[in-house]
Order: sequence, then C-alpha cells, then structure tokens
Amino acid sequence: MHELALAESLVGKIVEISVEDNISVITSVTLLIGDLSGVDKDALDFALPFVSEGTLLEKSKFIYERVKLQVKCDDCDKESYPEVPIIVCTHCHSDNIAIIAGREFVIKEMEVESV
Amino acid sequence: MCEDCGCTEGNEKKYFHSHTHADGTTHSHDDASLPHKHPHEHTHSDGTTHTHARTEHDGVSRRVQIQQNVLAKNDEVAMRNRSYLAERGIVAVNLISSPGSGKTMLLEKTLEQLDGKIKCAVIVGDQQTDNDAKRLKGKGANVIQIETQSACHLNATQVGEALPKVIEKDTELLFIENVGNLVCPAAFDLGENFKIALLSVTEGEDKPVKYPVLFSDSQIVLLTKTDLVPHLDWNMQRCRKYLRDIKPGVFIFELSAQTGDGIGEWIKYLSGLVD
Repeated sequence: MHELALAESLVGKIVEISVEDNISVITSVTLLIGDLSGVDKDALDFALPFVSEGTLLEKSKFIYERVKLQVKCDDCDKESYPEVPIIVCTHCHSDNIAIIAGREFVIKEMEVESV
Repeated sequence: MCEDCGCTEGNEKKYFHSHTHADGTTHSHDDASLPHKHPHEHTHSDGTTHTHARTEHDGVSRRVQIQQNVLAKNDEVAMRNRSYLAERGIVAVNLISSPGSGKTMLLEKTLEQLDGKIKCAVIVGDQQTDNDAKRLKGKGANVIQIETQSACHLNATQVGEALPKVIEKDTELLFIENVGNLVCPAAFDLGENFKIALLSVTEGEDKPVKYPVLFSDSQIVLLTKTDLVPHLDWNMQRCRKYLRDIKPGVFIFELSAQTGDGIGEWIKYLSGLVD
C-alpha cells in the first residue's frame, strides 16, 4: 500500500505544474500506469481523495490508462507485448529482450482552466 | 485596462502555446478562439522569454500535455545519491524481500566475512525499532537505522540523508536493507547500483511470478534458508524457471546463512563487485 506515497507525489507534482502554468481549475487528470509499474489503480484511486483535499485536485476526475508491457528482442529485432509473468519475445520466444514500456507511472495530460 | 473585464494588461499570465520546460518536457496550451484576448510577454523557468500577440484570460477549458513521471522527484534525489556514491567509488545494493526472509541474518554473516577485507556500510529500514541495526553493529561496518513509521518502503530522500552519516572515506560497499515488503520498495529508486531480491524457501517457489514488479527488476536473486529444503515441499528447479520467466538472465544464488552453505560464493561475488 505505497499508493498513499504515490498519491502524495502525484498531487505535489500537479500542484507544482499548476503554479508554473497559472492553472486554476483541473477538470481531469489522465495517468498512464504500466503493467510493471507496481501501481495499483484501485488503491491509488482510494488514496487520492484524502491527499487531494484542500488542493486544486479536490474535485478533479482521475482517468487511468493502462500501458501494456512491451519488449524489444535483441535476437529478431522485433517488438512485442508478452503477458506477465512470462517475459519473452512473442515472435521468436527469445529471452534476450529489453523492456521498453510497461514500467511507467506518468501524468499524461490534464484538462484545465486558467485564471 | 481592458474595457470588457477591467483586467490590467500585463498582469495576466495565461498563454496558449507549446513550450519546453527546463527538464526537457514539452507540452502545449491549446489556442481557443475566444473573444477576450490581450498581447503579453512572459518568461519561463528556463529563462526564455517570448511574446504572445493575443491570449485568453477567462476560464477556458483546455487540454495540456504533461508527460511527466509522477516519481520524478524521488528519481531526481536517487540520481543525486547515485552520483554521491559513484564519486566515492562505492557500490550500493538494495536488498528487498518479504519480512522474515533472512535479510538481517544474511547481512550479519556477510559483514562478519567481509570484516577487515572490504569496508562496508549499512542502511537499514524498518517501520519501527532499531533491533536490526543493533544486530548488525560491531561487525566492522557503519550502520544506520531508518524508522519509516507508517511507510512501507524506503525512499531516496531518507537514503540521501543517511548517506553522509554512514559513508566514510574508505567505504567500498553499501548495503541498503529495505523494509520487509515484496511490493512497495520495488517502485522507489534509492540510487543503488542494482536491486537484490531475497526469497526464502519457506515462502513458496511461485513468489517471483506472484510479485513480478520486484523480480523483473532484480538482477540478483538470493534463495535463502536452503537448509530447510529437506523439510519442505520446495521445488528448486520450478523456482529457478519462474525466476527466469520473469527476469531472463537473472543471477541466482542458493544459500543458508544458518549453515554457511553457499555463503562462500556470495562473498566471492561481492568481493568481485568492488575490485
């Protein structure tokens, strides 16, 4: 249950961006959550209202977008989307792969109004 | 002063455009063609100044692209820790496992073996008590305990604050014993060179596939308490297969801190890290 700490980081980051860009209202925030980010969407959604209280995010809607695990194969050079927990190239089944997506926990975009 | 709303030109700070921040991220502010606009000039945090001929300043909904890592702050501090350690030629490992997998006992044995050969330092994280630090003291290494209170993991700031207290001029190897937890510590970079996951044979060989976030990010896995294998329904080959499924190329050690089995290989490996 580290989602409370994640929610605090998230709210802190957004408040920082809002001050820099003079944002006064945040209607929605879209987050990217990777399959291997270690972030549980439901736990985060539970923590956010407590952390957002008294901030610009109090009434904001949070939208979650999943980022599938994506690997690039060093043998066949192709990219693929293996299913956790078997992390191999789905084309040639090589395990000589590098993870290129799926660890993200990123603020993608926000719908906002300014002063 | 604006005749429509009474605002003072130049005071408003709204702008609709695309710009790049000091950290390299770019995002756009949509231009909405609304009736109320003023020309203005503004300066960004990176020092660049530019002028917009006409900009909006009433409540207009727009979409801004952010594309920023939520844990950017932690990652930034972790990178500072990493530089601090690298400048001093120190190798740091982040030990992560469930509570009771034998992290502290393994460290006790490890410090005893390395005493007088490799100068070590230890940062121990627990929610409460300094029991672990007490166990690890007096074995030639500087030890500091971080009590995380309610938190279930160490973060980069806590480690950064502890570094100057445990690192000495001749320190070569830093062990960070994370809070016992297979989930949360995996998300927080502390500035280590790499993560080492511990899995005791009493926990079940399918832990790697049940907790893929940690095991897919650990280059080294220590299978601990192997002296108990004869008493358990533990399948070493199956566990090794699960580990390789989730992390191809993972380096696996089997050891028992109790009997000393496999400790020699582990010590040899650690010695190789600081050579």
